Order: sequence, then structure tokens, then C-alpha cells
Amino acid sequence: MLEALMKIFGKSEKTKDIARKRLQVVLIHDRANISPEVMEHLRDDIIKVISNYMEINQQDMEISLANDSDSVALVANIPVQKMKHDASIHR
Amino acid sequence: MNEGVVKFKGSRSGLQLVLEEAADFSAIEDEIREKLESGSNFFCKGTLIQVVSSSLSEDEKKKLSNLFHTHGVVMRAVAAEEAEPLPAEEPAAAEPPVEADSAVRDKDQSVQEMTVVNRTVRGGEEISSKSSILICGNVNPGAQIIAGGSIDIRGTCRGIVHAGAYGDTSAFVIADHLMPVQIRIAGLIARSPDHVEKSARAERASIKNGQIIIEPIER
Amino acid sequence: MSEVIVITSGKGGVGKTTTTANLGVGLAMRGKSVVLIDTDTGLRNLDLLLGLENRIMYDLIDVTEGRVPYKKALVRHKKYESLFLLPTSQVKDKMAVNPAQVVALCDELRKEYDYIIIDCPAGIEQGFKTAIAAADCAIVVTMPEISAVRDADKIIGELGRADKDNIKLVVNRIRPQMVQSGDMLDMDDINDILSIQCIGQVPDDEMVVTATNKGEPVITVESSLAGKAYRNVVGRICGEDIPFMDFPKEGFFTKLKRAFGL
Repeated sequence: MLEALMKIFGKSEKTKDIARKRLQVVLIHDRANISPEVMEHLRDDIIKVISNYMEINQQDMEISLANDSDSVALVANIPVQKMKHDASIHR
Repeated sequence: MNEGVVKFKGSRSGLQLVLEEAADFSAIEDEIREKLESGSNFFCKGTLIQVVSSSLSEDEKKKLSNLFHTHGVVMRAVAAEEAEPLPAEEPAAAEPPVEADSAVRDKDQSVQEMTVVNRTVRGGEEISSKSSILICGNVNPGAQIIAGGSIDIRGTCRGIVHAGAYGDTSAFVIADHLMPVQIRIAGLIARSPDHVEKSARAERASIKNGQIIIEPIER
Repeated sequence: MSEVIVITSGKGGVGKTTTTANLGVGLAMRGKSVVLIDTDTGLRNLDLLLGLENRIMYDLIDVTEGRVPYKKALVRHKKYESLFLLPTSQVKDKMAVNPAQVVALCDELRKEYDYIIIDCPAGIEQGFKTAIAAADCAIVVTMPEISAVRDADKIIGELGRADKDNIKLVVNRIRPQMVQSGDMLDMDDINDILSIQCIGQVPDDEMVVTATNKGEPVITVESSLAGKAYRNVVGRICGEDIPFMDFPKEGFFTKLKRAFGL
């Protein structure tokens, strides 16, 4: 409704702005669709870091990218077996 | 440029090497090597070359044979009598304006088959033949026609044409509209001017007085 | 009788994807059932031109590798219900599909749809060979510009060698003023060199840019000259005999401006 009113009053959205918005969303998608190799590296790196703090069950670990029409989330489900007492923080 | 000691001719029985009688053997050898290494892909593997060898010693024949062999070309030495009689070269200066068709037919008698292409030759294509080539169609930019003999194009020539590719300076190129990117006849190269208008008449390119000249002809 | 058409060019950027999108919409506007297939794997764009980029669930690779049936991957157009897009993967590359897979897919699609239009990637390598494999007819898109025409000629030769002899031409991005002043190749030059039947002469039109911005192909814009040209191409594909548009020549003021070097 507002859009229609805006059109009547000649303030319709500039097409370049429409294009920019569409491009932003599309690029999130494109960049999020990362290849299996990268996912593997990501998984290994996550395992390494978390293992500094706690022992985790690598077999049952799940990492994935979830995306809907306008946002992307990295979802990780990591079963913890034991917290490390001497959680020496390797920085 | 190339009034050299070594000439290649196409004949009924294939490719022939003609050596100048009085020439020095090392000059012959150098010139052959230069031609083989020039990169013009005429000498494809397995090509058979006849060499009229009465003036060569056994040793010299062997050297040439090895030289050809390293480029995948098979040499066969033949005595003068066996070799096909070669067409006498037309004296360049006194050439009367010859009617296109009959000139091509004359070449035909001494040269094997003429390669005929019944379509337009498109960019990226290459047509090559040891004898003459007739194209019934256009030769588009990016196309290459390479002939040991002459080239006749019934259409518009906008590509690269090389007639007399073995050194036959009497070879010529004819087209309904001659607007090539480059013309080569034997060892000479001519480039077309930057702004070419489509000529109204058919034209022939040939070598006269050591230069490639283009003259209008009647078809 | 279904027809599989491939839109190709050799040169990039001459308007293959734009042409595919517009022809698809144009045919759907006439009630035909159409599937558009993007084969520019890794650099997909057809989805953007149709404004369907947010609706992609599965893609061509999912179909050819058997993960989903094609119906699940088809994206129906927002407005034209008989128009479908089969998008490709943005992650894989052109080696991920081979010609045999495309032929098998098109054999399936032929049973259900009137037209299957394949958007071919630029170049002459695997992507091209895969895209043309199932085609009954090829439309070569070019521009009045020497490198585009040269590439078009090469592509026509390649199509011939692949036994695709039904080839038509669309000349895109024509600038009538430049043609008139002799600064741009005209149709006679192009036809003489390419020697294939021309079914489209599309003028350069700023509205194509705004149409792409919005994701609505320019054929839907009444006032656009390019849109009209595309409508005419669709008509010719459907067998109508439509004469080519006379592009507007220079108006008086434009001439005056030029005389003053403006």
C-alpha cells in the first residue's frame, strides 16, 4: 500500500537501489555456499580450538550452514564428553 | 628473397625437392633445415618427399635423409629419369593477363588434385593442400588457406591466404572480393591496407618483379 | 513438437542470458510452456535476470547427479505460470555436467514442455559443448563489433562441426546513430560475413539495464524498443513473418548538437 502511494507521488524506488539490495542478498548466498573442502577445514579448525577447552565427540559432531531467504547461520552441534581441568589456553 | 637453392614442387607422384645443380651442399642443407624448422606446418609427419638425387653423393643423400627424418618426413631418393617432369616456371615479367580459369587449369595438369571446398570457411578453420585450392564460398576473418599451388576464391576473402607455400613464386590468389588480412605468395608477404573497401571487381594477387601486386581481372 | 534451442555466442557479454530470459518470458506470454536451463555453472546469472534468485532450492547438478528429480529443481516464474527456470550451481564448475547428461535431461523435458531454452556459457570449451549437445536449433547472438562477429563466426563453424546446422542469428546492442554515421558495422556487413538467417535486430536500450536491476526482462516493457525487438523475435520463432524495425534516425536537434560538437 505504501509502495503504491509512493509510486503515485513519484517517489518509486530507484532501480539501482533495488539492484543493490538484491546483489547484497545474493552475495551472502554465494559466499555461504562454500565448497566441501572448505567445510572440512572449518570442521578441523573448530575441533582443534574447542579441544583446547573440552574433550568432544568428533564422530557425532555436526557442522552445517543453514540459510533461508535472507540470512545465513553456521550451526554447530558438538557433544561434550569432558571439560578439561587444566584448560591451558593456547594463544 | 627466396631465389634459393632449394625448391619444393607438387607433382603427380607427390612432393618433390628440386636442387640447384651448381649449389654447394652445405647451403642446400642449411636451407632445408631452415624450411623444416620454420614452423609452417606443411611438413606433417609421414610426408613423403622425392629428391632428385643425381647430383648428390651417397653421403650427402644420407645427411639429407636424416635431416628430414628428425622432422618426421620420409625422403626417397630418385634418379632424374624416374621423377615426374616439373612444369616450367612462367617467366614473371612477360606474363600476359591470363584468364583466371585457364591459368588454374594449366596448373592442374602438373599438379595432383585440386582441393575443392564447397562452403564458406569460417574463423578458426584451416584448409591446406600441397596443390591448388578452390573455395566456393567466403573465407572469413580468422580462417587460413595454405596451398602449395594457387588459390581461387569464389566469394569474399577476408582471412589469411598463402599460395605457393613451398616456394612456387608463380602461384597466385584470385578472389571475387580480395580483402584478406594477409596474403603470402611463396616467401613474400603483403598486408592489406587498414581501410579496405569491398572492390567491385575480382582481383588477382601475384608476384611480379619481386613484389606481390594486385590487379583486377575479368571472371 | 517440442523444441530445444541453445542460445550461444562465443564472445561474452553480448546478451545471451538477456536474450534467453526475454525469449522465455515472451514465449510464456503467448501461453507456451517453457523451461530455461542455465548452464553457466559457477557463474550463474539467468536466475538474476528473471528475479528468481531467492527461490533456488536445487540446481542442474543436483538433477544430473540424481539427487533430485528435475521437477523439484524447477523454479516457477513469479508471474508467468508456464515459465520455469532450471538454475545451475554457483559452487561447482562446468566440468560437473557432461553432454550426455544434458541430452538425457532434455529428452525427459521434451515430453512435458513446448520449448526448452538453454543459456550457453561464453567460450568454446566443455561448457559450450555440453550446452549444445541436445539442441535442435541454435541462436547465435552477436553485436555489431568486430571481435563479437569474429567469435560468432568461429562458433558457427564449431556448431557445424557438431552437426548442428539449424542456426539463426540475433544481432544485439545495435546503435542506430552509429550505424547511420558509418561508425558501426551494419546488418549487410554482418550478414555477408556470417551468412546465416537473421531473426533478430535488437537496439541498445538503457531500459535493459533498469530491467535487469529489477529482475523483470525488458520484453515486458511496452515502451522499450529492445523489448519490442524481442517481441518480434518471439513472433518469428513462432513462425510469423515480421519485418525488421526501422530504427529512428537522428532527430533535428541531435544533428544540431553534433554539428556543434556537443
